[in-house]
Amino acid sequence: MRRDDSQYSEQPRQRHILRAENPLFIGVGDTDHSKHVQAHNIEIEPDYDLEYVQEYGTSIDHQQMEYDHDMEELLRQLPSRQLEDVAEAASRALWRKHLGSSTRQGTMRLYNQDDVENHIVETLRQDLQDTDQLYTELDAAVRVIPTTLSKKRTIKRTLSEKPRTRISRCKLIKYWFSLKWQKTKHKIVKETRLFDLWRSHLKTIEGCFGTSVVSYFIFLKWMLLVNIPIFMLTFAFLVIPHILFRYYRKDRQSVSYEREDFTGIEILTGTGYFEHSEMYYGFYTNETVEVASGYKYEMKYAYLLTSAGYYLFCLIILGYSYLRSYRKYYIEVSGSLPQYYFSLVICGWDYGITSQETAQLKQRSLFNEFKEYLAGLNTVKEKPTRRQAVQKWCIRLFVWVLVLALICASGYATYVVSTELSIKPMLANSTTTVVSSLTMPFVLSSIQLIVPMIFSFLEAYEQFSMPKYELYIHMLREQLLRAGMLAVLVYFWLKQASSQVKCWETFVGQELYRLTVMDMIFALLYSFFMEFIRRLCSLKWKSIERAEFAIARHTLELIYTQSLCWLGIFYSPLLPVVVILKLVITFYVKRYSVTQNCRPSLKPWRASQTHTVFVGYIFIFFIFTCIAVFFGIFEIKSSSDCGPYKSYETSYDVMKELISKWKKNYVVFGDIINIVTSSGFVAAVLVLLCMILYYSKTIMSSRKNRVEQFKAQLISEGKDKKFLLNLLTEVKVRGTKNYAKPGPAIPQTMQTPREPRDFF
Amino acid sequence: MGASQSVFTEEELDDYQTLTYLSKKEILNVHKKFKALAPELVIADKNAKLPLSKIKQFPELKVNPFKDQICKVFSSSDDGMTFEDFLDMMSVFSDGAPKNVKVEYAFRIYDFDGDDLISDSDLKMVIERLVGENPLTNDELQQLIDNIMEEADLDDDKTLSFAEFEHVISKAPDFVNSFRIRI
Repeated sequence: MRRDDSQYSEQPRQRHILRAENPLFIGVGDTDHSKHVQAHNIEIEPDYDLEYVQEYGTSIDHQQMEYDHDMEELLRQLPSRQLEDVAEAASRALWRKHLGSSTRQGTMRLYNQDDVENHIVETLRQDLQDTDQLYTELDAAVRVIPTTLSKKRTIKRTLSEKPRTRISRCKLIKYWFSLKWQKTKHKIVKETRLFDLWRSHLKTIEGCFGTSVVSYFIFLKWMLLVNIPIFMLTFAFLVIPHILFRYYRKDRQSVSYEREDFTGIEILTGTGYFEHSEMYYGFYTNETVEVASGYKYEMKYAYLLTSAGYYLFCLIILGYSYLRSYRKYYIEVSGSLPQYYFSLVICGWDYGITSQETAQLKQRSLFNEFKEYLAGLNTVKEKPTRRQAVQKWCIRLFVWVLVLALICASGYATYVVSTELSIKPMLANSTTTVVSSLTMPFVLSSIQLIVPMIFSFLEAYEQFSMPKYELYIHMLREQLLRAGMLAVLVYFWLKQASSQVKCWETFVGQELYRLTVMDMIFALLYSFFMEFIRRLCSLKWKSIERAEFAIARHTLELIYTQSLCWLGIFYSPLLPVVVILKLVITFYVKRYSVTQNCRPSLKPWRASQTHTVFVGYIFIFFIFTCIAVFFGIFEIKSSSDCGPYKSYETSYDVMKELISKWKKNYVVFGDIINIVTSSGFVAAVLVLLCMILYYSKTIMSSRKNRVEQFKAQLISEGKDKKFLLNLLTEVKVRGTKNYAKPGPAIPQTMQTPREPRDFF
Repeated sequence: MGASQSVFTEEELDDYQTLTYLSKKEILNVHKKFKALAPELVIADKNAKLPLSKIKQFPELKVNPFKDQICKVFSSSDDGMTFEDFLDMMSVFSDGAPKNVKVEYAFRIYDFDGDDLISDSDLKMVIERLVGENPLTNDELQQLIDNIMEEADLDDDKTLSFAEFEHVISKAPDFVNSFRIRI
């Protein structure tokens, strides 16, 4: 913004000079100066001499400073500091519709703590009478006032005592309802045990490690809370009706399967006892469930509609989270000058830390960050030579080629393993051994463990300018690897397995089950070896240090688990149970591993921005899995002897039948469907969305422009004020010049370029 | 939790709940922690005023470099904090407090000389406290302060008023995450 006071850069800023810049303080030689000032008339002399003033600019002896009460009085009378305006603006802001929202609202600034209560009470009372919303919004209004609890209590009591005006009966009922609604909402959110899950564990972790590590655990908890409604949906609409169907079936003789005995190995493979159970798609019937006469429950519609239900639910939750996170951490932050240093200092300390070691580490980490950025500012970066730049980009290109080659190789390996070991033994009608069915998940998980390490090794050569970029590029590559392998698997299942395996949906469900279980085993082994054993080693050999908790890697693992869950729900309705169990086990294992085995990290971690990135990844993976599953539903032929869609060509044919039945019965419905699904309608909707987007974008850029203009205006207003105050001080000083040695007055930083004579 | 439930009546809990951003369970938890600081004083009077030396033994405050400022901002009287002050503090630091309330109190905490402006001297104290025993040289300190003022000071008066502070901090994404004490 402005860097014109270069002459001060070599002078250390000391307290007395700072005081001199504050017009409240003026140097005096005479202690009864203040009385004199009051008695004098302030005369404005036209021959204001700037150079005279400048000579005595810095010759202040700070022991002789006296607080100028008149100047303070003057400042207090400035309109910008008047409490009435501020309180009015604040109370007006309180009555905006979204009282509890996170958008910025005015606060009541309390300059003088003593007698301000009465003023607040009066202002609030005024507003409450006008808008007549005493019952519902008084609590929220009182809570916002930044004063002590006892004062808030007295304010509230005073306001509640106001005589009740006559309110009509229906308004009274409306208030009663909204009050009850608010109370129930508060109760549900705050008092349920579910949202409060693991609170003490999270607190311990935060105390030891700060907000960075605890963000992983919060993400895990959020994922658990998302999976629970999905599980309840499938359980209520699919599993329970099917169990009822089995027990209430009219014809009990046609039991076309034999349920095998339960041996322990089913937990790993998912076949055997689980094969003919509610676990997999293949077991569900396409008949109608009829428990009591007259109440029919069509299983085939239920299956598809429940899937649509949970995918829609996930879409809404994820879309909402992602948009909220993006808005909070990217949009509101942009559009202004980058303010890195301010947030580094003001938001630097993590108030949740409780351990002394972590506090010291945090101080050290902040110190390092400061040093690093200051050093970066001071060293003049010479432009890299052309040769160096070319070399750097060649290396980066080479690394990317290697990375993509590795990803393709992993994809091919997955395909080969799947074909050889999963399908062929099955087709050859030999009983698949446990080992062969588990090979594919084993290979997949080990690739996901080893290849990212290779990526990290390669990244050391790439010389990124900031560690943030290295982290993001590494995460991108890891996600590409996983997405690639999953894509190969999905292709394999939908194209090859569907044509070759008899009940391919159950097969897919089992594969996904095995993948989930193997992933969990690998996560537990990783914890065991990389964290626990490493701690034991560090106790023995001093050169090995305890591990740091790899937040990014673990969070990406969680995202992968969830994508497997979404891929698998349609083919294995009880997969959410497995995932929930997996998340709970992972939580406890990681929590104890972190506190016992890991050490806090020195590197800074921007929790809020990486959170947005993670939610973004999970949203993208959700979209991909949806596309994969919908492709399976709409295009692939469902297997002909198992599952609810035995007799149909594709699973979606059921819905087509239903819609055509409705069309026959209700003609209007048919017309509506025809219009909505026509290409003209879809094109029109797309054009409308594009127009809205363009409109929002233009509004955003015009607002940015306005912000810049306001900033410039503020700066010049500030200069005006400074100049006028300066002038006043100078005039006072000149007035008492005869009584005291010439005091300090205007240091050069507060000068404005304007010529003072122009004003008189 | 059952024992401390008999300490407060339902009415008192309701009252606290409406005046703060905490739920009833959290209020009881806070009281439990408050009691742990000085059991004999709190059993005698549930709203006892504990001396600041005892308050500073609270785990989160003990390692916090701004503990004396926090105690100063939240105590209603100079010689100690009552339970209600403590509750107020935990309410502001809790998850439920809106951002503007947190910004207000953050401003007060970082305003070391109490003149309702954050000047260079305040920032210098903040940075010194943040780095603790690892000292920065004067030049580096000054440069940091200059950079901060450049980013935040809109009207060029070398101090940050509350409006400027609020404006800049609303753009800082990590503020709410870091300015929080879980109960």
